Amino acid sequence: MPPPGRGAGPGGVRIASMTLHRSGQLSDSVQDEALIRAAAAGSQDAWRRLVDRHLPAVTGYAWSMLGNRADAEDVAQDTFLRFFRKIATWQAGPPSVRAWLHRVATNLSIDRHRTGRLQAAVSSDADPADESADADMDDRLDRQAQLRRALAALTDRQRAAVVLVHYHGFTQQEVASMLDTSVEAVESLLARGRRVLRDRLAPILEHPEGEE
Amino acid sequence: MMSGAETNRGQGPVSLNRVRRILEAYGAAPATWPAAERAAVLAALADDEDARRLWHEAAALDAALAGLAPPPPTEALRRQVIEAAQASLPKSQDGLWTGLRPPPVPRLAALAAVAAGAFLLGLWLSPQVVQVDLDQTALPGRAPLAAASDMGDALAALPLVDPDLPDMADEDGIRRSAGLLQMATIATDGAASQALTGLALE
Repeated sequence: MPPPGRGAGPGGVRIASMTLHRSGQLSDSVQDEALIRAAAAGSQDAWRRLVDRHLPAVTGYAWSMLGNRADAEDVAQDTFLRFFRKIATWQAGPPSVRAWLHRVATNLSIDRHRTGRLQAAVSSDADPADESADADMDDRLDRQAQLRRALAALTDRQRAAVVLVHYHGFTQQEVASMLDTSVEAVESLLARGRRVLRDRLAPILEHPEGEE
Repeated sequence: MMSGAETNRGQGPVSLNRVRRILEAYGAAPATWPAAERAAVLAALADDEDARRLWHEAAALDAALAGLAPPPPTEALRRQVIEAAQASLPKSQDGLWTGLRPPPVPRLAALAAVAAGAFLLGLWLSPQVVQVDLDQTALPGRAPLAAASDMGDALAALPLVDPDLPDMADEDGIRRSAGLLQMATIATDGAASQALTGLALE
């Protein structure tokens, strides 16, 4: 894969969702604010649309933070209930709705880790659908498991920084705000976190997917 | 290429150390790099073989990380989130949540009118308007209002419980009525104060 040249976009890099997040952020924020106003005025449909727009990302983020679906769904539900209580007095951002939700989910996830209220260990969490996967999926599932274990090896704040930047496309400034820290500290969290991931994922890095 | 500098905020070339730091922290995608340093890092990648080697290492880790696939939320969770919000507020006939709406204007107006009325009544009945010497309000055989130690004593001193109601035309009767007015003022002022305090708290 060639490195990007001057003025080139992030083409060739496999985190495509991140690019999508960033290019659509402004219009997404405008739509969110409009939906919040409608929901605050009593529209159930607007609330349903807000849930559909953000629940997948918040649940996925909580899953990345906590390593199992049951806790992730608890955190996602709690996050949205707090959001619902907030919309009557919501003021247009920053933070954006997306950033606000992820910040709350971050705090709830870290709190859950800190108080030891996790419902299941990372290694024992298997989706029922996973069990019916055929042999061809085994390698991919094994890589998934390695990735999840590698993420679980990070500190809560390292994991939050890595997941928020690399999987959810937040900027350093946004992550710094969510974690109540400086941009420089976020950079350190990311660098240390990625170093741990690189060490933990050495077998995958030596034998990338698709290579014999 | 600069050497030694740990950050470069768009001020010309960037050091290899800084390129390494950025790639280690943010990965290979330029969109994730600090905006002020993006152009300088791209220039370094174009000019420096070591920078390109670092970029390939970062890209390999990015590729490995991209394999993580969080499960989508279940339909049950989606339903719970939507229904939990609906359950927490009363639903009106038109399908809207009544609890999130601001109070209707007529109710606010009525509240304001009651508060204003209580305030004006308090002014009209204020002790500054009706100056009464409480020692002169005693009924025959009863303690003056000023000497009443509590509300029970004060009520007992009122002519309302006296079988011989005073003649409002004579001077004593006027004084006793003034005493009644004083008591009414005290009670009314209290009510008005409570009403205004309640408004302030809302």
